[in-house]
Amino acid sequence: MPGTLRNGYGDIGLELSLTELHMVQLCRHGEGLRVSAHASVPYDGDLAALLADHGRFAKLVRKGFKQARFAGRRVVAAMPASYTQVKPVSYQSAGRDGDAAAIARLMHERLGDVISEFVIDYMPVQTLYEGREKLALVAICREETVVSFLDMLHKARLTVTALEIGPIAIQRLITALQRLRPPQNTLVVNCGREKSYLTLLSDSRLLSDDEVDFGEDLIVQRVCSALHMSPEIALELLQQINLDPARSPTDLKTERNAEALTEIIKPQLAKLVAEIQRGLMFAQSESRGTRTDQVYLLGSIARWPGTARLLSSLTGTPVSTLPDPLALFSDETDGEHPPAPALAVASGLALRRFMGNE
Amino acid sequence: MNDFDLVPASYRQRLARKRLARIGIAATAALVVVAGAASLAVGYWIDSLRNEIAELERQQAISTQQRNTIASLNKEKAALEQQWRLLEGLRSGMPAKAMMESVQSALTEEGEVWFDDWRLRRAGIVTERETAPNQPGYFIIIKRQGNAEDWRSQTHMTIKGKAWDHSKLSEFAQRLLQQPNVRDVHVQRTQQGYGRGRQPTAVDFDLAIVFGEREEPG
Repeated sequence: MPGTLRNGYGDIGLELSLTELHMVQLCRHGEGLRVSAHASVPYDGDLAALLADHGRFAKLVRKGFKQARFAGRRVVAAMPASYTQVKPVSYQSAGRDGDAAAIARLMHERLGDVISEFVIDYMPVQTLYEGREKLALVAICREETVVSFLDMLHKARLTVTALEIGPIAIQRLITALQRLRPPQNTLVVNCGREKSYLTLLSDSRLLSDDEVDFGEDLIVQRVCSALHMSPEIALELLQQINLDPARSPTDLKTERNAEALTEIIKPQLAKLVAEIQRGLMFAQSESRGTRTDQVYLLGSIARWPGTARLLSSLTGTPVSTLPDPLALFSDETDGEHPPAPALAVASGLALRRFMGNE
Repeated sequence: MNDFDLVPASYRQRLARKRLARIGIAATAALVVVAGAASLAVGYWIDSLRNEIAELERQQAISTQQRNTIASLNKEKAALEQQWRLLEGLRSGMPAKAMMESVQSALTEEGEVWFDDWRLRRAGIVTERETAPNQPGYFIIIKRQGNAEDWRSQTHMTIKGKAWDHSKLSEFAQRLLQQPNVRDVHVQRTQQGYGRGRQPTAVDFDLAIVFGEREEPG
């Protein structure tokens, strides 16, 4: 919910991705918004180890505050996806005030008495079909984990104004993007190492958020086994070779390598393609046959050259990397800065003060 | 619009309680500090007042001591002045030779009166003012201011002797009184002596002569 701004500055959006801590802060600039500060601090080891070491996280935050001049220490944080389950839940509508009670009753039926050990919140999903049956995206997380995460932020001297989940931040960012472009059905594919998340939006409405068993590791392992190389070299290869089917021809060797690599990973990508197509069909059914206009690719795979184009050719729908959020909130006076798609979730979180949950 | 937030309400309440506790502790600490500072200030103020009082008492003690010293010195001065006046009085009296010459002049060549013993006394004594009424001729009284005592200066000659008879003794006393240096003459005792057959013999007498300038009548 939008709140009082301090000198036009919003809360800092804070996201812990698999490899980096991302922080973004926006501020009012005339009629629009602009990025007042942003920082990305990589960390060694995995996320679980970092979350277990609150002192290490505090150091990471200090580094972030040294990188950029943030105003204040109020943050809107995202609960790491690996610690949260997001499920679409259908429930019988009992009036607007009764939604929370209906969902709580439903979750109690599913989880039983251990429901007290969980923190549950939901986001209503607006369907086109009026009726008593309603849909909501329900986020479930162990209270112990949430409290530990909040304590970690608190020990880093951060004041948490809200704790969200990635899909809501992405929805907010896409909504901000669609204010500049015509509304459309949008599917956001956020790829992680082991899992990926497909967030479906229709005219700024959150339709669904699904977790699929597909990730960077699946493709890297496939390349390793096919070419008998280490995961590091396989990853390096994927980050160097352009997989775009319509790429400009260079030398013969590179072309052959690209074709070979494409053939190797295609069977793995097929799983993601199937999930994307399933999402597109769901979006079409929820929007009276309106086709999905855009698929945005986020995460590690999005950084591999040509992957978006490759997925585009495989799905038959335009797939592109998410527009740079920093460019979205910049003006001519900001000058040049490198694209930072990794800041998408943090930017969406930072938008909460200005947009709420639209 | 839905305010999605995974922060448990209990966590927010816990933070709010902690914040309140911190504010309470900070307020208490501030109060303690202020009270401590005030206590120190009051203590310092009381100490300075005590020091001031002690200084004033010391000054007062000095003043009292000085007053006592002054009183003592004044008393001593008064005593010394008394003594000085007495000694001055005594020193300014007539010489012994003149006194003896006055007595000698009062005696006749016929030997009507003769002395067995005589004493000349010149001294100052302290006497009670009330219990010792002024006895003219015997003492020079020096008044002491603010005191119940007087200094009395004696300058007199006592004579024990014999006379042929009372008339001769009376004539002798008359002649003494005619001497310029004699202020007064007191016949203190007379006793007629008798011989065989109750025949009167010489008169035994005690006589006091007070020397000094004679006071003008009126």
